[in-house]
Amino acid sequence: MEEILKDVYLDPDLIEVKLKAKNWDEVLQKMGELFFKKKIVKASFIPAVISREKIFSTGLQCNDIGVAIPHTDSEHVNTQSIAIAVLEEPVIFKQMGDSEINVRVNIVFMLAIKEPHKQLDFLQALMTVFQDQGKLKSLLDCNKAEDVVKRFISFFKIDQGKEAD
Amino acid sequence: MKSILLACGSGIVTSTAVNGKVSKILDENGFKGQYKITQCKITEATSKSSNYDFLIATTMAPKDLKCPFVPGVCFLTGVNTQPSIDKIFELMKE
Repeated sequence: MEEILKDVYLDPDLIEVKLKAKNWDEVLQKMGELFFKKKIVKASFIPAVISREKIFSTGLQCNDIGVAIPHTDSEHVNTQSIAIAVLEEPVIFKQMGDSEINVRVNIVFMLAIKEPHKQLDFLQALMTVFQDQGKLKSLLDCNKAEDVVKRFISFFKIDQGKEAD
Repeated sequence: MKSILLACGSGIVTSTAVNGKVSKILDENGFKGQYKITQCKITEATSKSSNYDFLIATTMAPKDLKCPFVPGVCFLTGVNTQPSIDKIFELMKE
């Protein structure tokens, strides 16, 4: 886990449980502000991540649970990090790769990526989490930001050395 | 040797994740050393496509593509991967 998450800044201040939002723009705005308050990203990140989502949507239907992975170019990022929001009610995002399809998103993982090629293991491990309904469901059950961080870290411990399907 | 183009919106985040997944599938199925993957932005894919055997992307298929297209989002979610895997194997054997 230390290896996979060593360059990814994790902080309960970057986690929201039961986030309320009317639409995906508002989700991205609120999560972008979490990053910005911690100086993880530059002010330009928020408009950039919203305009990118319009062109390249990031909703992913992972069996029963919808997730989204909004992100944008590294020029807007100061520190590699991830913000996680568990939504109180699902919010519609467009499906990645097919904007005709709506995804009811339950959990949003906003990525602040600076050096993607050094983050191969992290990105791969994150996709493995998406392929595990039990792990995603366990995040939905969290009531506190600290619990989300603990569970999230534990995923990478358990997964180490295991094969992704 | 097959030249595979792998694209996403930025050419960095989801294409990096899919690259790892697809390389692993190819290596485990006897194609190790028989391919080279190049990542790019989807906006560059059409102009590059005539030099590649096929394109895997996490976006919609771009217009005027000069090579076959394989949908790549399934490699992120693990949902319904078999049609894309079958298509990749078929293109590798051509």
